[in-house]
Amino acid sequence: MPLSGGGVTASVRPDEGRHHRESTASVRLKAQRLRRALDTDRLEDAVKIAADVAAELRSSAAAELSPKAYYDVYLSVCAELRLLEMYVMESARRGAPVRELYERVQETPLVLPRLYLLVTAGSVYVKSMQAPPKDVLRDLVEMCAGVQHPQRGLFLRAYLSQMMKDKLPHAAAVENGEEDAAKETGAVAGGTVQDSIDFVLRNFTEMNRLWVRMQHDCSPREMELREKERLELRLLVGSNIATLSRLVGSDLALYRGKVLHAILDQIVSCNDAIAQEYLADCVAQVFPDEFQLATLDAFMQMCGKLKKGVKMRTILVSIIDRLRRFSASSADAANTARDAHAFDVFRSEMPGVMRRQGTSLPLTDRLRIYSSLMSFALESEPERFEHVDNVLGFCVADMDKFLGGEHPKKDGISPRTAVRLSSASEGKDRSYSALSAEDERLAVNVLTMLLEAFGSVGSVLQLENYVVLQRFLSYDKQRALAAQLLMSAKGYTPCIEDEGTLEKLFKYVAPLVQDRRVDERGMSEKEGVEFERFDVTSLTHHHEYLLALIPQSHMSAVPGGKPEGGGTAAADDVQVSERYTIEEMATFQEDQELVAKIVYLCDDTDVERALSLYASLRQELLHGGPRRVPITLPSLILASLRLALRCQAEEKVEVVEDVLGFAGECVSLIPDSHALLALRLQLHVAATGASLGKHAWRFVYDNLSEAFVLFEQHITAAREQHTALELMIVSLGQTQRSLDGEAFAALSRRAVKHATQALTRSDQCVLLCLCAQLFDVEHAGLARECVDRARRAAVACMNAAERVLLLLDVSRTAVAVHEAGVCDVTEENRLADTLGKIRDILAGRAAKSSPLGKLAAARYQRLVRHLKSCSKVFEGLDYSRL
Amino acid sequence: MFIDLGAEVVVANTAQTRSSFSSVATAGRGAELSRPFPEKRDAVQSLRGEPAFLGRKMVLVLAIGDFHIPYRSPTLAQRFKTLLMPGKIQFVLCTGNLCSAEVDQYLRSISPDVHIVTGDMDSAPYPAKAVVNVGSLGFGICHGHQIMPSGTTSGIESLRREMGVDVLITGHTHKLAVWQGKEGGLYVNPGSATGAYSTTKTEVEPPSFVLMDVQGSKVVTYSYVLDGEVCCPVILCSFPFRFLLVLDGELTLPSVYSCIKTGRSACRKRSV
Repeated sequence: MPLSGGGVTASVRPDEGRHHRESTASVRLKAQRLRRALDTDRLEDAVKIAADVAAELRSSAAAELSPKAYYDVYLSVCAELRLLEMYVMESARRGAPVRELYERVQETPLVLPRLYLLVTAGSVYVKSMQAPPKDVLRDLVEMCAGVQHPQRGLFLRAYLSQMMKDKLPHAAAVENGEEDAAKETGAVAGGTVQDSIDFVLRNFTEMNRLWVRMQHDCSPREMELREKERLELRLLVGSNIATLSRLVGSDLALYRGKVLHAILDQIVSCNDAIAQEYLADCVAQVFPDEFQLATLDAFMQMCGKLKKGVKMRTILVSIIDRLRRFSASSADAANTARDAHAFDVFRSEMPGVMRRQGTSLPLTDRLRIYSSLMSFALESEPERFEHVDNVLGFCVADMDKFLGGEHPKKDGISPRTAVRLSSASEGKDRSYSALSAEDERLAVNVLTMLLEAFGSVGSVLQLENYVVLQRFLSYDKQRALAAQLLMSAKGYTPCIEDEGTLEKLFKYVAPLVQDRRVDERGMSEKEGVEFERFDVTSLTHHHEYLLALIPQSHMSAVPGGKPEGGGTAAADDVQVSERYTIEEMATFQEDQELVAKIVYLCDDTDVERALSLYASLRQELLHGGPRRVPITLPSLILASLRLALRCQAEEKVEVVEDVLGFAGECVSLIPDSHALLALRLQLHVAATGASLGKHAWRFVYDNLSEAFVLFEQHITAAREQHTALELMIVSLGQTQRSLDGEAFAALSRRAVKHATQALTRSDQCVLLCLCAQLFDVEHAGLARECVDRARRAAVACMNAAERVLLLLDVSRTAVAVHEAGVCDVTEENRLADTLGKIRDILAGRAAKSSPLGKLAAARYQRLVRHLKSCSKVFEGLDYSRL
Repeated sequence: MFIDLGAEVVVANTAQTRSSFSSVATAGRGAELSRPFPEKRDAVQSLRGEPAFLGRKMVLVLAIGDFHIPYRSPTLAQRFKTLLMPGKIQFVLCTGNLCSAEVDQYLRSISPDVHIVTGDMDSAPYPAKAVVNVGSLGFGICHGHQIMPSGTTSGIESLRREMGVDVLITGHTHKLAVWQGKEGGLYVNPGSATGAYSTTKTEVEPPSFVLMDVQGSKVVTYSYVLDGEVCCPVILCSFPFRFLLVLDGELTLPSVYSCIKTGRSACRKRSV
């Protein structure tokens, strides 16, 4: 039985080394005499000498020894006594009565040596089966009470249990499950398992008492030293529990009925922190998993009665982790754990344990326990969300107790009321101190554990305490966690069916939508951005004079949906880019894209319901303000357009208008700083309207004209203007058939005008080429005019290389217009002239020598080859000139 | 022929297909069809054969585009992500509409040589058109929303003439298509990689992309279409146009031929 290391230093017991040497030498000296006596078969002398040897354990030198040194002496004494034992055993086998010896040793005058010899003799007595073991055991365990000195008594009893360990009645028989046989033979031999257990329990109780007393006898000054020494001796006591485990074998009834009860009673009643902590951990480690599950309630109740300050973390983490490993080991094991309702036991007993410990169990330890409990809940019954929620509830209740310094609650808050607590305190000014870094890490760990295990937003939304716990974290952690929640939706299975769930989700991801930390009061920090179209920003210049009549205070409180103007928004952008680093901007973008994907979590099976859901979603997204809306809103807009297309497919014509109206409204909420994006979306709304059918056609004109307004008012950069105009012309072409003649004429005229006014010649030319293809045969004149203007723009271009490329574009357009049968470009040799111009430039020396010129020439050749291949179409063309 | 992208791609191949293919080597671009389709027997073998082209280095060109993440689709299908493992593909030609930096990064992780053109919803400054030379072929990429009248074959053919490329890759329609033009040239539309809907159609095509194996002046295209979660039919088409095979675990030979005759892919269409 090795003792753990870390012996007491010589400075504490200055003479220990000397005493130790003296004792050992003395034992060695006497042992020589003992051997001689045994060799010459002088048993009487041998007993006397053996008593003398054992007496070393009570000598004045031994009294000065630390447990470690004492143990050393104890071991050498034991070795010598073993010689005596073997001698007696040998003679007993030859038929000599042991009883004689058993009685003779009792004549030894000193108590301690007498008892050592008695135990030695008793062990032979039991082994030789000359007396009923039961009686001998009872006799011995009672006699040992004669030594009450803690250290001596403890070692004496350790000797007793050591000697008897392998001689206890029927330990093996029961282990093999032959209970009947055990009873039968047990009756004959005078001892049953019950007796053995009684014996071990009694000895264990006494040992534990002595162990605990070791500390009580000393002054407070020595307390720390004694604690250390006691820890070194813990294995002596703990080995009894291992012996019990062997005796009990697989007999659950026996364990539950007798053994566990006695051990737990002893643990509670000894009222000593070190003993409680060690022994409870022993129980949790030693007995089999099935036993632990079956008697978890008793164990947890015991935990609830332990002394304040006992390291509950060690005990509880050890039992919870053990059960988690067990239930993870196999499907059968998982079922066993489920049938035992292990989690329910934890849930009902845990608050009691925590209440009992109070502030002596710090928050960090509690969170560690809950973290274990969470992994147990997720491992054993992952489909029981309420279990996970309960664990979160525990965390919340404890955080509330530990951090809510200003209004400490009298009693603990049960996890079920935790949510109520948060909602009740919403109005009150209840402030919490921040979590320490380690506590926060643990809390985040608890939450991410379940995110990983669930892998679905829908399941997480069913947890009530998740969001309450989240509020205790710092803003960065909250944001990271919210992003992780959204990322855990791998397949984007729709899981939001009503507004309530959506609202709940936004409580979860609020840190992504708001710049500020979401505190315990929840969403009360919400910036006042209700969706409201009836505001000053919707005024056009026709009614701008009304602004003068509106009080100034209202003017500044413009809702966040749409900032006052492009100028301020641009200024905002500048500020934003100054305030954040590139990495922060990238993280922000990624986070917001996650928010944008929330729309894919919304269930859209029913169109009408989906639309109202989308309306709520828009409301929530608008809280994000002008920085977030351009990233988060487009997905919603395009999702609603998809909804419109589905309405059409399902022939729900009446809803189509609502959906398109909704989409158009959403587009108008995109801040003017992102006018090009708004324009793109506006064109998509128009395109959708066009592909839906006559009833939706009014949306086409409205949205196209809106796009033109955006273009004219907010798109200023040349490159953006070009992109925008290109998109507008293409959309106009696409939606042409859904516009009535006048509307198309108005819009196309405007497009041509803008194209003509483009900044550079090349922009003009390219855009006019696009415009030329807008028109059908009825507007052949307009098409021809566009081609002409494009050619003029191309010709006016300064750079020869650019000029030739633009002319090639023009001639390609002319060919396309001609092939489409809109107008005849061969009239008045228009095409031939253009081609002639190209040829002239290409024939020049500069063009011939440049690689670019060669590319242009190749392109020209391809065009000519094409023209030649469809000579029937281009009848008026003079091929001889090509 | 077999392109192992590291996952359960349906495999078609055979020596026979290879020989019929290599017989065209002299025909050059835009060659007339001399032997339109492999014999029926060959097709049987083509389903269970040895990987061809193992002896030479494959040059794989991926045509992919119209992701619309996060605007119209939350994410690229996991099946596609496992198919498109980094290091297998030499060129990525993207038709645009990525809509987020996330996709851009993803494409650049697949291959070192990535070319992206701008779509109608891209705010990143990609060019409108791009030309990439692979082997002895010129590949042109253009999103295609700029083509007027939109979606017409003549517009796309005129664009190929203008760009002077052999293979023109366009997107925008969200409909997978591979065809050869009247004047030669191969036209590829990889469809939408995420199966995003198009605002101009009430039908939604499944997610798809096209992989091209380029050898000298020859191209074999492989179209990957994700149909549900289960199988990924492979449509083979050689350029110059030799054969078209639609293969997947379920298809039997007659349907292979019916696909060839009608020229339609066997993929199911779904409504919006």
